[in-house]
Amino acid sequence: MPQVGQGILKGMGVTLKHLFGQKITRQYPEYKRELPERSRGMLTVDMDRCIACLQCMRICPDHCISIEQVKRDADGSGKPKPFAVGFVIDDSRCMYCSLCVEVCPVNCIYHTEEFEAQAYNRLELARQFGELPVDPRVDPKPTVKKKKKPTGKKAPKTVEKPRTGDEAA
Amino acid sequence: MQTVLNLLEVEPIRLLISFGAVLFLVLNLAAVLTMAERKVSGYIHLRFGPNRVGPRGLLQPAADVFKLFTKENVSPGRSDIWVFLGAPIAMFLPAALVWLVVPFAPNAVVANLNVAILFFVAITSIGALGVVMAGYGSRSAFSLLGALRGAAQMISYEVPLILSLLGVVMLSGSLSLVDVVEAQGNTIWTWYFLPQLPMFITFYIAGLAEVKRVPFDLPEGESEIVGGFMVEYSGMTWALIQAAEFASMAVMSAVTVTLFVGGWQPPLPFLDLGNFNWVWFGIKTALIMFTFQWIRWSVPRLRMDQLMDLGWKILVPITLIWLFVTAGAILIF
Repeated sequence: MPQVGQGILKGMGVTLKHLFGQKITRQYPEYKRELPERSRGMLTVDMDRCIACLQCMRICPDHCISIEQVKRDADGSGKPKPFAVGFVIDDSRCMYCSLCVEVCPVNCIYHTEEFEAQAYNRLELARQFGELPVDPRVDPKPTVKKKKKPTGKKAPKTVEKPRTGDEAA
Repeated sequence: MQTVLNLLEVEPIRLLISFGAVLFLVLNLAAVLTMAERKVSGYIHLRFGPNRVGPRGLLQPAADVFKLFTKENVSPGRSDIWVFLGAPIAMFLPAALVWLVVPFAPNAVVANLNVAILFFVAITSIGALGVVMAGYGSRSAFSLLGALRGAAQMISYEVPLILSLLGVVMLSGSLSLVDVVEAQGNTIWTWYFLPQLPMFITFYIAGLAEVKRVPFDLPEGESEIVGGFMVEYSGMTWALIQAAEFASMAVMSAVTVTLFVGGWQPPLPFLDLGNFNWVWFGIKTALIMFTFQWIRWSVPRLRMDQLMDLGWKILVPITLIWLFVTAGAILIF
């Protein structure tokens, strides 16, 4: 009999202590936590260093980088080199995998500490870096050397698979 | 000023003004209590609760009400539409009606019935009807389960609720709430919660079960039957059910205060505020309501058989024993 209700009273004591206790909520827009080292924010490009090698465009799994490449004598050496006149990063597609950062030979593409992107339109999330705008809706088609077609035999007709339902939706 | 006060003595005007005041109070209680509930829950969880709308989040209820008014009211396709729509009203009206007999201050009571306690008991038991209507009208398995639980619980706990009132009635010798408060005197040790301590605790627990608050929220049963009898409600009908719940919670606290904690009486004679004694009533009622919310965020829900055991095997015997003790004491002294 003496222990009847003791558990409830103990629990209510804990809640009462919490009621007047220090609150642990951090009010987000006013208080921002320091980001951890090597955190991956939105990408940015240093266009002065870019050599338009298109490696980032090729490796991107989401096709979110598009580069418009021309030959131009930018440094005055008298020899035209590849130059990126248009450079767009579509943040609506980017998945922050950091492959482009790893592959860049001159370290000109890198993550910032920005991570709050919002827009009313998907296209507003595409950020232009070059002199000319690039249409982010067009999938970038990097020049890939084609494999030689096997000569002679025609390629077998592709047999239409029965629908499994996976491709719907 | 004096003429206005004299006007309050004239019968139809006094009735209309006090009726309007009570209506205003009941309709605003739900909003204020929702806010309080969310704040208390937040503070107990070491959060802040709503604090963005207005200063310290005080305008949150207004935003909530605006949202609920503009929301579509969806009813299930094959529901019994009149029963479905009538249920929130059948829940809200009893909770609002009891306020008519609760005395706020010596003369501030809408209707000073001489059978006020009987009226309170009769009206609160109608609340079970609304729950059954909601569960039946929704034509949904969860709703029906919640309604059946609600009916069983509310009818079972009527018994200890009424039995625990009888001690107070015996001591004060009256069924009028005003007489009960006046009999308690203006010192804290003459209030009825001391000689009637077991009855007070029983009334408190039974009241908690009667207004379906945690730990007796089986009809709602959020984790098992996802909302019970109110699972199909949305928009203003849902808001009315919530309002009914908060109004009945407030009414239960007010009646507890009136019966056991001395109503408008100040705790010590020198603290008498004269015409402003309703402040004491308000403070006590708010404290009881706070304990309701405090318990809600501390205690887990009972199982159905535990609920029935608590009601019939513990609370009813306690009240019966104390009824005899009280009767014997009155006979002897």
